[in-house]
Amino acid sequence: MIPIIEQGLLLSLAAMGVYISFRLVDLPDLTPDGSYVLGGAVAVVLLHSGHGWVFSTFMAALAAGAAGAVVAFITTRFRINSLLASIMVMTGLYSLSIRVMNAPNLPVPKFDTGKIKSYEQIVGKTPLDDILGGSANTNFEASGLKAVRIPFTNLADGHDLIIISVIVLLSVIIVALFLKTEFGTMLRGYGRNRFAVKVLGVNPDLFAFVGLIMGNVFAGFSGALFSMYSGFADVNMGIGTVVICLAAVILGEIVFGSREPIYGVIFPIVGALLYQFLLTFAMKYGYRIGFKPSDMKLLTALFVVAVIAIRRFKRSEVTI
Amino acid sequence: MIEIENVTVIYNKGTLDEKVALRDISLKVNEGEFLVVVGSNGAGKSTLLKLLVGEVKPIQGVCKILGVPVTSEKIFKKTSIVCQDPNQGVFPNLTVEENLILAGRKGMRGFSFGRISSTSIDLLKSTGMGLEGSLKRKASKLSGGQKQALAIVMAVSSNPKLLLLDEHTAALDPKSTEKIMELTDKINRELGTTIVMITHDMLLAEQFGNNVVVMEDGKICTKIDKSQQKVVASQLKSMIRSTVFSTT
Repeated sequence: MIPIIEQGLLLSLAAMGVYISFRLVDLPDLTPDGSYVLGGAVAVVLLHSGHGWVFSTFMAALAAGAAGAVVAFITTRFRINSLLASIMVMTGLYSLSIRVMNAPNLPVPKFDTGKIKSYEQIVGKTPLDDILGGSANTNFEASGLKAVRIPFTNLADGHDLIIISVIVLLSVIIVALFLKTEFGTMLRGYGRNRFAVKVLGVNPDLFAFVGLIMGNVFAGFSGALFSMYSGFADVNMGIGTVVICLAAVILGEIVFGSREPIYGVIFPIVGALLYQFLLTFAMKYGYRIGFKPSDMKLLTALFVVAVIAIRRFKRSEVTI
Repeated sequence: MIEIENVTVIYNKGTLDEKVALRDISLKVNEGEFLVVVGSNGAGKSTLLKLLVGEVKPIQGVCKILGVPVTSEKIFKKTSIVCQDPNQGVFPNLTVEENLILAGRKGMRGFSFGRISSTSIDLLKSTGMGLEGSLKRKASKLSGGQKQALAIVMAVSSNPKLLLLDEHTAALDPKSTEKIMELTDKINRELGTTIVMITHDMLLAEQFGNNVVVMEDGKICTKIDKSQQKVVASQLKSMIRSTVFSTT
């Protein structure tokens, strides 16, 4: 139960990013598929170079935000649809993430908590040594990699849940307060009426930047925390992130109906938790009707299409 | 206030779709004036408005507002516009209060929690549409007339020098039109805001405004000064109608 909530809350941060880009500023953005990985890659690489997890996570979120800024630049300067611009950036981020890690995946260096031992401590070498042919006799300290304390213990004793819950709660409060300010109010307004922003003497393109940067900051933030939580960053871990997050946002919207508490920031949180429970349920009992865990992405995509189709029948106007 | 000198605007110049929208027009609008522009479809009314907000650039001539050439970047610092579609002038996903907070002044916003100004509340009351009791309602939940009234209040809340109205009553029912036009007239009389109103509606052109400009085929064919000529309503009516009908 606890790991499901933990994973759901970690996903909810990426879903918050998707909520900001798809719903608040109405600029569909597929970059989170790449910026989620980039966040994980940057965080793990920084952990390897001896930086603390807070700094590593912060830098990971910034790197992902920079990817969002590139999408915004392409969209506003070249007047290219944000979906197309984000596909290009997302594709580029695949290579960039491998560059950052200098490998397709990278494990998180574990700090000796006395309770569990890391792979490096047990076998005296790093998984990279297996892949890249390093010396089997080199012990962990001599390998040049530094053991850095990360916030998660993976013991399912509630310790990780408290940390993740606090992070998510703080994120919700910060975003909600930001959206309540005049700047945030205008950002929300921009999502539905760009012309009115222009009439107020403000360049609407600024909000495309803010929205897309914010969206990707949360995707990178989530990717960084998930990498630390799961113990690795992998270049393929972002595949389907946008669709899964969109499903989470839609689930949240269904739960709350026509109500929109705290500007809808709560939708991705509740939706991601619900999604994670549904995912676990499907993985646990789905085999009885022939489902495999690998079918979940297909089911998620079908769910998103089904909800959009149902809304299309109900209302004349629908957005993804 | 507005100086347009020998302006020509051509769309898709040099292509098969080339269309001359404005032909060597000159127009002067004084401060505090309420100018009504009438004309048939394709006469160039909308292009004239786009020219005033910098959406189109003249290939010849100059367009100045308050002595400064119009550029799209800065024009909305001192100008407000209300369009035909009531949804275009408001933020539908924000509450009436949030809409008015944003409309309170022009320019970029900071990270403070804004408050609605008393001027905005007074303007809201003057619409007579009960909007002051709907501050917490989302703009999308308002009727078309209420939305347009809110759009006008938003447009004048920042105390603009110039208010441009692009057939702003076209989508409204007669009762709402009457209220909106009363509000428009009040804004011109009491706040002294210069207004340029574009309309298809002959009755509005007859009833409101100090001056009427009749456009035809990209040109200004008549400018009628209601006060100086002191023409009686029926004469003015026939002047406008004869000019417009002769062009259609």
